[in-house]
Amino acid sequence: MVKAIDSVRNIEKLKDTFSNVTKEISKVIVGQEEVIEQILVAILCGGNALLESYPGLGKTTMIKTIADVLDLKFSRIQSTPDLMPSDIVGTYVIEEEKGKKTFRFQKGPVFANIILADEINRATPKTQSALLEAMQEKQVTVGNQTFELDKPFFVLATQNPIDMEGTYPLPEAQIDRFLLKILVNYPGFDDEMEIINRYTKAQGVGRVRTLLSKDSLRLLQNLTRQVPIADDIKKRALEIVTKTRTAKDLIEYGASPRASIGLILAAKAKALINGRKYVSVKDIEDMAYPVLRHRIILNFKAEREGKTPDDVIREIMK
Amino acid sequence: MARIKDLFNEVKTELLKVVLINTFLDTVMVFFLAYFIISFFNIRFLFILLIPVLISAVFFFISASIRIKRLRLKAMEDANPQIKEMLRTAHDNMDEENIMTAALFAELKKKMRTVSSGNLLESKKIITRIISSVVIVFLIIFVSSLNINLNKIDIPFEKLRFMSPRGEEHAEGEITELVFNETEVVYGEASIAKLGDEEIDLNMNPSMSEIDFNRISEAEEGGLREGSLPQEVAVNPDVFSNQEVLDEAEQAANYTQKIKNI
Repeated sequence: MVKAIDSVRNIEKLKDTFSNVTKEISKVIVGQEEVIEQILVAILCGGNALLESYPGLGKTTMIKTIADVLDLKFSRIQSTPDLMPSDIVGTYVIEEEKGKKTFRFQKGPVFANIILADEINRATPKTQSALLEAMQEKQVTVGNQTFELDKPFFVLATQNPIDMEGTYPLPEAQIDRFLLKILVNYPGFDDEMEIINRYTKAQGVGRVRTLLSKDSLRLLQNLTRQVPIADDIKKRALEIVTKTRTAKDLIEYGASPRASIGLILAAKAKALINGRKYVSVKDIEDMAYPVLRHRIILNFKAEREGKTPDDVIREIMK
Repeated sequence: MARIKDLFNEVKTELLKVVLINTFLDTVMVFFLAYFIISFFNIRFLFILLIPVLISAVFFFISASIRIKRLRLKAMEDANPQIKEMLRTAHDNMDEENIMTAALFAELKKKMRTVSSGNLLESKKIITRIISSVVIVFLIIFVSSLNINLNKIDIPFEKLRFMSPRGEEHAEGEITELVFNETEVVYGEASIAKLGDEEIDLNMNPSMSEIDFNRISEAEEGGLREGSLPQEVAVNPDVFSNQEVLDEAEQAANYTQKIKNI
């Protein structure tokens, strides 16, 4: 476990630390290495992620496992149309003690380190706003009292790309608050074979070890921002984001400066996870997809041609 | 951070060495090429040497200054692509002081130990330059040793004619040509007339003649018989007439008078 990062020698060991974390998670989650890496990137950046996948791909298990390995408190919110903001942030309840009734704040599931907001687009805009405010401000206000949320705080919201009836799609302004949009695809044949082997045995899947503490995670979050980056690599990141605003033949609305910040930070985190002390162009280009795909709106022409946001990002990066 | 600055200074010194080596090789090639081309012109030997030296000196300074201006980390990065981004990042964050940059500098120093000017010299380019120089030198030697008589090109620019061996006679105040009615062709140019008053340097090039000094003997005495005189002096009996003799004698007298007045 990383206790203190006060010497260059400790930095050298970080690659092994992250490698061990990934190995530990892969005891439960088969494949999906890229998804796991992107979730770790979001955690290191102190950002939030929007996970889009079909049901049954192990999102909840994955987040629960990551929370266990990183020694974080995990909570899950299943979003439904009747879910109220107070169901998330908490509410005042009347408590009777020694014949005296008092109001006591009952904390909601948002008071955890990792929140899985399942099918966030099924919650009403009011509830979505309550959660998104917590994501942005890292605090909640109930009545006239403000409560700081636990640190580190990370929301992983999921949405289903199909079955959109009766949903409340997240507005662009709120989607922009997610650092990454992570796509979870179906596992390959061999991976799925391994999944059924592991999950159909009598003894089941074993427990994972805790490899990082909250404090060490906070240290790593701090370290992520210290990863040096060359000026021309920063320029490359900025070029990519700027192109989303100028490529009018494909994109109607481009990414905001928040995307530029997110792209640099995500690239730094990816470099750190891979044991590098500097950001490479490849880090920027790899992270451009999850950082930008939810921040651009394709125009009619691109949609008519059947292009996805990833296709367009690939084109503008050429 | 001072150590990483020293490291970059070392890198720059290595790059400077490489630039100077490359420029020197290019200059040698330019010198030989210029010498080879200039040897085709009708120029005095001193200028045949002087002009290539001047051209190559100018080339050296211009080429070296351009290359030094362009002297950045790019050459080092190109020579070591595996550390390109690391090097660039370290350079851009030289003044940052945190644990990550310290770790980056430490790793860079470790990797840079294997990098020297030897890694930066591109052997292919150097071999090409050396071979090109050798080929030009070979051509120069070939042309001069085999005594290939090439028609020398006269300098086309009037102002540069002073470099030509004949150019000395065109100095101000001297006769460039003696016009003497239509008989100019018969009596030749004024410079020939002046030869009698001047010292003539004759250079004998052994490689251009087949004179065997061992076989040289005293000149034989010869009589003034027909056929032994040069054609210009001999008189063709078919066209001989008293009037012509008188005309020619008059012309000769006039010519001699004219020469005296010069």
